[in-house]
Amino acid sequence: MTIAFQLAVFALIAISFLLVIGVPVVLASPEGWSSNKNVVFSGASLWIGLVFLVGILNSFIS
Amino acid sequence: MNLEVIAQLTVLALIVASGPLVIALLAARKGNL
Repeated sequence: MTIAFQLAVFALIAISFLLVIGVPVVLASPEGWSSNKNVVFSGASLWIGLVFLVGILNSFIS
Repeated sequence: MNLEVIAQLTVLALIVASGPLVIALLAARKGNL
């Protein structure tokens, strides 16, 4: 269970880093929002899911 | 040298570099700076 928690935390950190760089680039690029809207929404949804996953998995590790 | 210190400095460098990286990416894509 600990390895799953560690992997979830690592995934959360990695996608947070990607979103920190990617979201402002997409928002300020010409035609960026309309062509990359799905990527931003998917990344944000995945991030929110990972936050809850880390919180849930935290309850199962000693 | 402690490996943990090197890892911390590496992650700090990534975070610090992410700001100018956004500027560089937008400049390369001719975005709205």
